[in-house]
Amino acid sequence: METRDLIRILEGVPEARLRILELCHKVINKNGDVDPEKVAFYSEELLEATKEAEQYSKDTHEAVRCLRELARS
Amino acid sequence: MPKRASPLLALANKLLARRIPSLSSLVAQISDAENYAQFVQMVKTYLPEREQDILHEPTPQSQMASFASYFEDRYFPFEEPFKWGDVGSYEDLTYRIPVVVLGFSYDDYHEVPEWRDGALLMTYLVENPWEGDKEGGLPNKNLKGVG
Repeated sequence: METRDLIRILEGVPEARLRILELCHKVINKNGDVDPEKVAFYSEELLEATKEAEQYSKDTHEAVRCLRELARS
Repeated sequence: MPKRASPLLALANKLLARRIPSLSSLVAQISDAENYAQFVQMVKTYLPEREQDILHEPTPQSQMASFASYFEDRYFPFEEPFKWGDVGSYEDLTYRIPVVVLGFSYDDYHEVPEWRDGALLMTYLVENPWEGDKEGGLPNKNLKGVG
């Protein structure tokens, strides 16, 4: 793969909207701390969002591996 | 709004503002470049006005699900897993057409006698795939009750 192809890919990669980041706003109280009651209220969404974040973490490792392989080839 | 920005919220805001990339899409484009290129070509060919919508979906699976949904609106439906995003890679879509086959299965053949009369008569138009043509139409022996 040519460098310009990689740059084109990097420029065009779509955005990922991780729900865990959006849920942060919902589980914070007035003092900026995590509110346990709100966490309990959003527990199901948080569980799904956590799974999504974990997958994103795995994708990060995979992306690093791919880019390293690309750099070696 | 919180009175102070907690570290958690500050991090979330920064990451949201930076619009983090879809890494699964990045990986797919690098490691499965040929099939990704074919997928993009399919999108441009069959749904050019939906190109942005489809390719901006965050994962290969959601891109293919979006493609399947728009494609179905205009052409014909794909197999269910494509609509749910329950497929592995672009190759699942590019190496064959995932058309929903509505063929006549062996089990269907045995249910023919329970079909309504009009449908039973229509089966005379096709050859029996399981027993050759020796009995004439598909449900020859099943038509006794049709008068």
